Amino acid sequence: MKRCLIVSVFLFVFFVFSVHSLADNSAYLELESNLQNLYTEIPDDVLGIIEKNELNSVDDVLSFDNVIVLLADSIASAFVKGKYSVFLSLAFFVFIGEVINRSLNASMSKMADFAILLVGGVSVFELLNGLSAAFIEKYTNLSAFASSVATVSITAIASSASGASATVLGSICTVLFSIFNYICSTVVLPFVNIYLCVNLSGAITGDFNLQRMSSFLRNTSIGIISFVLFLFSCIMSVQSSISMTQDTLMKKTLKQILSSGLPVLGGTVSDGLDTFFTSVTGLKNSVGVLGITSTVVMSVYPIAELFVCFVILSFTCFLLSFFEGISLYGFMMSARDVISVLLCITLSLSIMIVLIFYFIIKVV
Amino acid sequence: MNIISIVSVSVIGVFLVILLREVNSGYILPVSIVLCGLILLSIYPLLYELFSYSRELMGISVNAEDIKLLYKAIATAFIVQYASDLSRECGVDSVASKLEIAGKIYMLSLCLPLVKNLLSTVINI
Repeated sequence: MKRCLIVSVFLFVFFVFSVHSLADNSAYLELESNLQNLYTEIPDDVLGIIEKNELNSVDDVLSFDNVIVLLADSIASAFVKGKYSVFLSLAFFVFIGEVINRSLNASMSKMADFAILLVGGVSVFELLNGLSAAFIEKYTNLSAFASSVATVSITAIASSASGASATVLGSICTVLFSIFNYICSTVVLPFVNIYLCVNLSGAITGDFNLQRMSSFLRNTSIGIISFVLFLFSCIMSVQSSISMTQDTLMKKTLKQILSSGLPVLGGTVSDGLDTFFTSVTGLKNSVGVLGITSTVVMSVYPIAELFVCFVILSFTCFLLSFFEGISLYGFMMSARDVISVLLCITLSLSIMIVLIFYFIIKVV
Repeated sequence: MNIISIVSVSVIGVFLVILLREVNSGYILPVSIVLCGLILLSIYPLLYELFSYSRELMGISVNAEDIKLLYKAIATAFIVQYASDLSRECGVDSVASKLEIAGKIYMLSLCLPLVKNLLSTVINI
């Protein structure tokens, strides 16, 4: 009987340790290879900015002072670049054109107005297309990087016996990055072009229905983005709470079984398991912090650039509004609306990625 | 040429036209043409300066060809209106209206590359 008990305990201990060590070994191997891949994904400029601002943790990055410093740096460099001052120059150019145009008779004035609108329209079209292409490139890089960081963190979560959380986060990440890539590659550029085309046609023909259609397009897209963000936050909060409860319960049960099932070694094994979970949680948190830091740093510059463009376009519209009946005014307003939609997309996507990393850190 | 010189030339020209109306009305048209031409030519350097400054501001972001096209369109509008106003003063309204139609069609043809550019963008969406 005694021998049977000893053999059973031995088999039980062997089973518990061997299964965990085998599982953890494969998880660690996967984690190690993912970490190696991760460092190749981090853009040099992001690492440079992080090092330059001496930011080591998420608290550093998300502190009020640092966010202000990063934003100010980005806005200043976007202004210094000065490429968006072209809108102001365009306003000046149109202003001259209009002053001359007003001295012409009605029929010739309409034709000159048409020429001014076309030249201004084509210039703004080209500029906004360039801006959208740059936006797509930056956010595709951000998506690739965030997806790598998230994979590493989820592997760490899975190896710390938090299977439910890992599954939920994995599926949410897959859906989010699919939506992200779809928006970047398929939606942004056609949306910008269609929106500008509708507005330019509305400005040329003076058709108010077309202008109404464009405002409907803008409001709908902003509404959809806000709804997706709201839905994402809700699902993320609810799912992570449920999965965290499941994981906590599972961990406690496992510890209880080990500590009470093993008469002599129970406490030691339970403590060892705790140490292992703590070390994996530390690793997961570090990777999550890196994810938040890099997302913030990578998002601040495009957001600041779009913001500068939005401010300059608003000022241009303000200058053009002094002249009643300028067709280009409506078109410039639509260009400003395009920037506001892009700004909305950028902010929403960045917030969603930061939320994912926040929940990764929050998982116990 | 500053604004005082332009106004002086115009006032002298108007007096000349009034005098000529009593002496020989046949000379009124050539004098008007020369006077209008002089006024347009005198503002040309100022206009050129304004446009080149705005072009300089825009730098390389805006296509230089498009700006050239805009100069041409506005200049065409001015020249056509100048000619059609003279035609109306001479009482030849039919020529004036045909001139305006010709001017509009010429401006449309000037804007054709821009329309093509826009349409190709739309087609490539």
